[in-house]
Amino acid sequence: MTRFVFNRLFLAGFAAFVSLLPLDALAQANGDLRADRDAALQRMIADPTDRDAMLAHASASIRLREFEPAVSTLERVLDQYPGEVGARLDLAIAYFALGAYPVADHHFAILQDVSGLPSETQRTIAQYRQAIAERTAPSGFSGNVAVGVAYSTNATLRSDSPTVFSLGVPLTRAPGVGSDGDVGGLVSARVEHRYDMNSPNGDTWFTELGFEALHFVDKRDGDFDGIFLRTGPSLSLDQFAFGPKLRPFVELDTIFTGGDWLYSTAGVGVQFSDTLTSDWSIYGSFRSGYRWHELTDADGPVQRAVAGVIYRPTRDFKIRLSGLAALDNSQSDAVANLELGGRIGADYDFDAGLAFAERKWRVSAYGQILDRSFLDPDAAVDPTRERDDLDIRVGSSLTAHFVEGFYVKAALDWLSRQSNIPQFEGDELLISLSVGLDF
Amino acid sequence: MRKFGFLLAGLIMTMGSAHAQQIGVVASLEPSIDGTPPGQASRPLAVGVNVIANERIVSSPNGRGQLLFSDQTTLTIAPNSEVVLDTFVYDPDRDAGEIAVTLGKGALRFIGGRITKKTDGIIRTSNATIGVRGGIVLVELLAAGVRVILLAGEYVCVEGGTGRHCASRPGAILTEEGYQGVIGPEVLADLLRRLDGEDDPDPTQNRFSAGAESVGPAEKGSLSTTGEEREEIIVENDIRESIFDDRTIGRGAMGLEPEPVFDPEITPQLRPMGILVMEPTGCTAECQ
Repeated sequence: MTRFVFNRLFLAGFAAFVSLLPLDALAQANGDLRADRDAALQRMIADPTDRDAMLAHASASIRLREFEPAVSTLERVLDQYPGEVGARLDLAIAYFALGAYPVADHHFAILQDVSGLPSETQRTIAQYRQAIAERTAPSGFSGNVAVGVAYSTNATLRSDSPTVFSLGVPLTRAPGVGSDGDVGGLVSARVEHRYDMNSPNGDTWFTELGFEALHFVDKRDGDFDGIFLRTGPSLSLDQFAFGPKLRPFVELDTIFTGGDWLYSTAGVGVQFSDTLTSDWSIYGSFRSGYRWHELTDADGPVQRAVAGVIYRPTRDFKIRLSGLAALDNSQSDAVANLELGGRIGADYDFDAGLAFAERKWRVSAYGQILDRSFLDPDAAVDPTRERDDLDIRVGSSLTAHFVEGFYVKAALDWLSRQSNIPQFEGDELLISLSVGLDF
Repeated sequence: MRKFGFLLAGLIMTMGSAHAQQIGVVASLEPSIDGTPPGQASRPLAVGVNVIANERIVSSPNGRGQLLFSDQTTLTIAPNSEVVLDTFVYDPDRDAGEIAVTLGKGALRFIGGRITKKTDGIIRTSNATIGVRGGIVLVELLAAGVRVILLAGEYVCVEGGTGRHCASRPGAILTEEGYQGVIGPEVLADLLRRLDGEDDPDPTQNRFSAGAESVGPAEKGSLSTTGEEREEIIVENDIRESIFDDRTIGRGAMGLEPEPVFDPEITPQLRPMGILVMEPTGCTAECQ
């Protein structure tokens, strides 16, 4: 009962989060800005020396995040006022926003050579040039590390069901072996390496290495360690910079739970993404691999497919809708299973109003439903029926960015598993607070 | 009134048109450039003067200028250059049209406007045709042929004697022979100096701010000229939010699976009512 109440509360909270976002106001503001920009363009055509019109046009374009018309106007401002430092800084940043790093760096370099600029401006210019150097390097690493604390209401990852089936016989679970809460420590690290393949389309070879761990103080059953590696080139399928990309990859992962080495997987796959418009993107991924279980000899193939769509009404807000199908045939038929599910998630970036915050803060929320059907009955549990689980996950997080890449993340994740075999039902609320560093 | 102006600018301009039709305006120049409308004598252009379809624009060895079109396309003409404004068609209601120019000599910067969001802007030379989609390019005629540099945008393609070659990475150099790598800072600076004149920033002149600093250096990713944004991480950050999800589908998670049930340390006892009860063992992962 409690589980259902929590589920509904979280889903209601997610719906409220989305509904509270000021989408109508944003659309209205963008419409007003476009009208201002078009009016300014007409004034510029009537009088190309109208400085106020140029400022209005460039400002509106930048606020609309339409940087190409901003560049057009700012280039003209510099033509008419070649000494204007503010316009050159705006121009350099507009080029930077478009990813036009060589020409952005050209203008930043000119500004950096100017003596007498305020130290704050000099520091800003140096930061942009540093970012450009990193983004245009033929090879580079980036990533993040985080450590934190977590509390789980079910650190043992056990069911509280009073009935346990064994050989099809219902047994009464003795007290004291169900869920139990505990406090633990959380560590995560992710390193990404990009190698510029020097193609005319800017294709890169992209490698990711990740590690995540959660260990509890007393209860060890819910302990987890996972490592994964994925590598492969991201290749353009046409001549568009923001067109479809295909990434064949090789993937390895290994998972430990409860202090035991659970399994390792090696696979190959392909990943696809395409930005259809400024608002819509699609993506998909398929992986086929082989999984080795360390505790048993039950090894075998696994497949996973994901497809999704992203709607981004503004650059600061996106909604992601995705579906998953995964087949795990790596164990005996009784444990082999098919997962089918869907997920909706939203991210909203906002200005925290703190001068020292380098990046916008992000609030995220998601809801996920996943059906897991086992292919055959497990005679040891119940020879008369196949197990069928329904996992509902909901969660939210706040990532607060500060200085020098440091951030604090608070997250809340709720899992509720319903099953046709009671001993597999259960739930867990995981609350975590971590401190991280982006590099 | 504004719409009327758009419609005027949107009239179809083609070679051989009976009337001289205004397609853009001289937005800046230094110190002067000349224009020759079709069938008319050459005229010195001034800021605010309209240019017309098929007008030939010629800059002196020290003259340069910038033309602004009603779709926001901007053309910067370098010293010692010659450009013919072949075609300009813009329908603001459909937000679409055509634009084509011919570069006879010298160099230019082409900043695409609304038209090139949907169709290629065309720059012709004697030996090649250049297509620009949603982008900003520098085009330079050299003794060896044309050199095109994509500063930003979706793509640029050069079609010439060796076929069609395209590039979409910012800074890419294309010639008729294909992709030549990314432009170096010195070459870029030389070309931009030709187009823009000598750079002479004055720290006392700092009155213009359009607010671009809202785009911080830490902001990830870049936007296309049509507002598209690629976020590679999106693909990873999916239904399996992370490998961390595997924690709750691992062995024994949310239930006592066969191994613990038959673990010798869990002793079944048969009670009188015939229900098997497991004694609490307190067994953790270490003892399993």
